Amino acid sequence: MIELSVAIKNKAYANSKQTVLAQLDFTVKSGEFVAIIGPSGCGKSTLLNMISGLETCSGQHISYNESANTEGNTNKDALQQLGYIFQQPRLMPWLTVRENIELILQADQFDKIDDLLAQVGLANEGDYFPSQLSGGMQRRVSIARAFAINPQLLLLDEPFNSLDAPTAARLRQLLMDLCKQRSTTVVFVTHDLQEAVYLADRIIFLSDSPSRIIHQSVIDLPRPRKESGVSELAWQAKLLLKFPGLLAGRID
Amino acid sequence: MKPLPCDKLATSKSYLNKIPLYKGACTMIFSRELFAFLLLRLGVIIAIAALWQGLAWIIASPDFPSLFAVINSVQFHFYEGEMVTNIVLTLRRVLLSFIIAMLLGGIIGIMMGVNAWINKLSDTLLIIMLNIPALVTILLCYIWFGLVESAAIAAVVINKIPTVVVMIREGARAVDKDLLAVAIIYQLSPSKTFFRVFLPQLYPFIIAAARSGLSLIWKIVLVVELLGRSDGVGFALNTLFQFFDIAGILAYTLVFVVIILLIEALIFKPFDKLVARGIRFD
Repeated sequence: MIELSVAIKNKAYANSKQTVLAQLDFTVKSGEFVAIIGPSGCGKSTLLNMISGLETCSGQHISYNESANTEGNTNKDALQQLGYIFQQPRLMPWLTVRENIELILQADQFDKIDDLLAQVGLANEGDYFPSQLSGGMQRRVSIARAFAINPQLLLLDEPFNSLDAPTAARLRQLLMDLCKQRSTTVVFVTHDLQEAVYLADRIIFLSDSPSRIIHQSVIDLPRPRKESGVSELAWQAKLLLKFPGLLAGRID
Repeated sequence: MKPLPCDKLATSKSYLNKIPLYKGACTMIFSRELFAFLLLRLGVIIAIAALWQGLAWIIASPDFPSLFAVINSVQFHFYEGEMVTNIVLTLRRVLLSFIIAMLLGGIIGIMMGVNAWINKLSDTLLIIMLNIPALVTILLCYIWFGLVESAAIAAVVINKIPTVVVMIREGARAVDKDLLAVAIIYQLSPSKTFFRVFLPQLYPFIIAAARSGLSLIWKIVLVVELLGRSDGVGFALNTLFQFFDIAGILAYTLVFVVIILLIEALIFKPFDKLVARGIRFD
């Protein structure tokens, strides 16, 4: 299992000098499901890209398993199994569903693809191309792909955006089940408080850009939770009554 | 692992199951589609032939031989002359220079498209190369390397490479960074990243370069043969020109055009279909 600690100072956008992340320090415990909520444009995706190593900056210190790390470097070797579910499914359109998953596996692991596809409810769709599937089915493929490598750390970037509510609900359930089976450490970026309360163990709220952490709350509700259960909604209401500007990135 | 309760979300798209995917795609490419394509082409070809024959009757001049005269000439050159040898030699030159130009142009184009520095360094040279007349390259190659086969091939290749580079470079610039990020995250090997993530995005550009390339190359090959080879279609045409054998010239042209049409129908069209199916972003 893996523990993640993040310390970022003054990360600018890739193509400009404008600071997007001012100061972020947090750790994610092994097996913990952390949701990150912030207003749009506050650098949530940038944060995930930095955790994954796609983007870097000079003042960063990101480490896994508390293994010491030199400044400005992610120790990617320590993290062999990183799963990343992007906002868009990002499947290769020229490969079939099965080939898309085969792409990221070694040949001796191909036999688990059938299992995985069955788990995401696509047992019969392995030979279709992504363009022949609906948006929700494509997401499920991207979820299956992320879990194919048995990720120790899973990053999700608003993966259920622009899906209809029932589909999104089913995919959330699927995600919960898969994470529970494997006790994966998860960092989940969203702007939807209800979704976060349903899924996460802890929520980190970010301010507007240049962003920093304005609030953290542990969700102490028992599981299994309901998407719009009474105690879940009450929890949200209590939080928002205390901090009305929280979702807009303000703490008054 | 037991299937999860969400298994029931396998939606009722069962009609999709009834489409035998690979088989369907293949039969479509190799029979029905091809048949319709050929039928249409055949109609156009018959119309052109009729027009030609009609014009020849009306003009009735030895400078404008009728279609039948040309077909007779084809027969003559095919059985009595060296038409087969010449065409085979020309096709070999076309094929050889086509492969070399596509490979080198592809590699240079990818490098220029991916790396901004290489692009800045070689962009001016590329524009110069694009605008040097084919004739100049051919003459220079013959002067510098002698009247040999390799000089002929080199001349054609040098003429073709810049246009391939331009097209492939555009493709390499347009590559989807998001898909490359997937390759990075899941730690694909460099060869997997290149052949299964990067290169498929270039296929439409490679095909465009190949199609425009073939037509350009066989025209240049004829000029190269005319200027410095003692065989091939270009050489034969030059000889026929000196005898004012217009039917002969048209006979060679006809045969070569038919060959190019066949290459187009049998190689490029099916390949096009495959690519169109694979690269559908919707």
